[in-house]
Amino acid sequence: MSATPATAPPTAPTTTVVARGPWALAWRRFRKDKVALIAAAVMAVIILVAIFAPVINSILGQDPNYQDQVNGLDMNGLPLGPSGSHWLGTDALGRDVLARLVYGARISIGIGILSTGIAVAVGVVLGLLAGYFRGIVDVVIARLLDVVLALPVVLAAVALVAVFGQSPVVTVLVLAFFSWATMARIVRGQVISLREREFIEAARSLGASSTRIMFVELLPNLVMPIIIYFSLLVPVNIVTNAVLAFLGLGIPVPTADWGGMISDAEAGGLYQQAWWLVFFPGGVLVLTTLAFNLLGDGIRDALDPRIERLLRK
Amino acid sequence: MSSDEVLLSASGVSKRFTVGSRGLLGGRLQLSAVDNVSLEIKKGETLGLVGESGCGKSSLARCLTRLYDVDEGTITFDGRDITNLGRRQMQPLRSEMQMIFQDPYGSLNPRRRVGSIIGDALAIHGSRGKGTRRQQVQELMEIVGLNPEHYNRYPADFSGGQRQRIGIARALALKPKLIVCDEPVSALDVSIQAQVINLLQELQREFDLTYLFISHDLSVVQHISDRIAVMYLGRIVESGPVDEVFTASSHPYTRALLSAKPIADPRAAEQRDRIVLAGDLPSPISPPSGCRFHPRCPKAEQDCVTVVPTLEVFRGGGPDAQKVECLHPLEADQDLSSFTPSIADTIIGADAAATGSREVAS
Repeated sequence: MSATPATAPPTAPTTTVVARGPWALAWRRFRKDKVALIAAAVMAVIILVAIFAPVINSILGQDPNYQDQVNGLDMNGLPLGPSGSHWLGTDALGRDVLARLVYGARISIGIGILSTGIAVAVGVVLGLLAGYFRGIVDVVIARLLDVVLALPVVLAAVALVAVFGQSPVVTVLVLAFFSWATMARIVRGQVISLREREFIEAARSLGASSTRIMFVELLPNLVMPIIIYFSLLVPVNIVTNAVLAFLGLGIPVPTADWGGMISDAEAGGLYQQAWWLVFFPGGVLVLTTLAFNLLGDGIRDALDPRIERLLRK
Repeated sequence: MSSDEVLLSASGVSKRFTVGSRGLLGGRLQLSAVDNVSLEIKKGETLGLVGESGCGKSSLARCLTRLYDVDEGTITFDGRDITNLGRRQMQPLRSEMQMIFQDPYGSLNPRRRVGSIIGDALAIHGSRGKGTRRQQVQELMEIVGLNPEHYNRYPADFSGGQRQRIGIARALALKPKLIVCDEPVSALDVSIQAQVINLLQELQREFDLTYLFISHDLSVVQHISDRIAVMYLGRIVESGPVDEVFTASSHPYTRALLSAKPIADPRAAEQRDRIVLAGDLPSPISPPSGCRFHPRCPKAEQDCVTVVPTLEVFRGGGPDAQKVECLHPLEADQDLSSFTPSIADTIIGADAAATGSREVAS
């Protein structure tokens, strides 16, 4: 776009104005948002830790599931506090807390992103169908949506996990099941206004099929709300996953998981003796959700200048 | 230029929309957008369709291209009855009739690149010409006067006139027989309007196109059309060759409409009589009885209130006949301003009373 051809038409005046697409403009706004940039950096570190968890742990020389009954516990069989050999201490079974935190990042963020991805995909497709076809399709989807939104999330999630058993797949699907509805509602609303635009009529007059209109014409206009909602939903699902784990309904043991670690610390009032068992997993959880939320806010502000920040110069 | 072969014909086409929410008794109001319209478009000609905003021009265009289903009447395209064809059956015909839309901002998807917008038809119907799709699209861009290097830009990077050229290139992609231009220049600056009109005329010569040209701008229609049809409240009230209608219009509405056409010379403009019609365009939900124009017509008589006129040949014959839908058409030498509104006021009052009670009844 910016490359000037060698044989420019002689009449064309040389111009220094560079046409900026919507993405370039969004990036310019995002770059000025310091909070969002810091959040993005924190997110990048956490995601890198999750990806390179085995590498990090081999450098640290720790195994997240190794129960060091001899050196990992004190004489009374209680967990050790932070020290040179175990930087963040050990848990009730003598496992290294840092190693488990590093591995827990994989589960927490993986489940958060995966469940959000499924929820957004389902929500977008159902929202498109409801908004585009209206009529009976809309009525059915809208009612389904009302039902899902009316369910008490944690209670229903507990019931679902209890019925289908504990596994990462069930956790992801349960989280997705409770988060597609809002996406569908947002998409449906956008589609209802977009479908009246003239370019949809133009597509129809060209003979475009409904599928083509939905995915080629409408979907590109929904990219921004989808990205915004995605970035705001991931932290919600990370926390909900931690809640499930805390209630003992998360990923089966011994897999490390932040919510599960807090749950373990709660067992028998252990946290009263060993603060580090709650402090570090809880702290990482808060940091991650905070970073994701601030990043999501930053992306929203950058993509949607209509709700521009009041403080921007 | 134009042959006598008919490309598109409509006979007795009506289109009604249901409006508003259900009333107490479940009845809903019917808006009669197009009422019993018959017209013919001959191969190679430009038929101008004029009328006020809201008179049903665009609805008629969408009926003719089967974007809307019609409630009554038949539409024949290229010798084939297309009135009841389903979406799949219409699919091959879509490539032969295209539309250019009024709003150059609304009619282009803001999130798609220009190249893919213009290439849409090729993607849907399959490429027919030589070369890759990109080459064909760039050739089209050149034909309509766009820089082919702007292939990957977004519509937002273009001005209104350029955007309308994009819309024209899109309509032209499959070399259609008929292009329906729905107010293609009314959203543009006057200087840009001229460029786009000239482009449309060049393209017509080069590709042997037939146009249905919708506009409320009389000067533009007079310039581009071979024949024109005047629409009022869903009905065609007068049609005929453009020169005859402009110089010797016989329907009082056409006469009034033409008197509103701007004249460049201020002295001439001062001398001519502006005919200002009484009242507003009546609601198509409850159109007036008899002749739909009678409440505003200075020349209306008693029978206009009860008798529905039909489009009859008024002058000349054959395909170039001037037709008018009026019980008391004006002769060329008659002056409309010499008539004084006689029954207009009373009828408008009666209509308003009738409208109030209609909702419950329907």
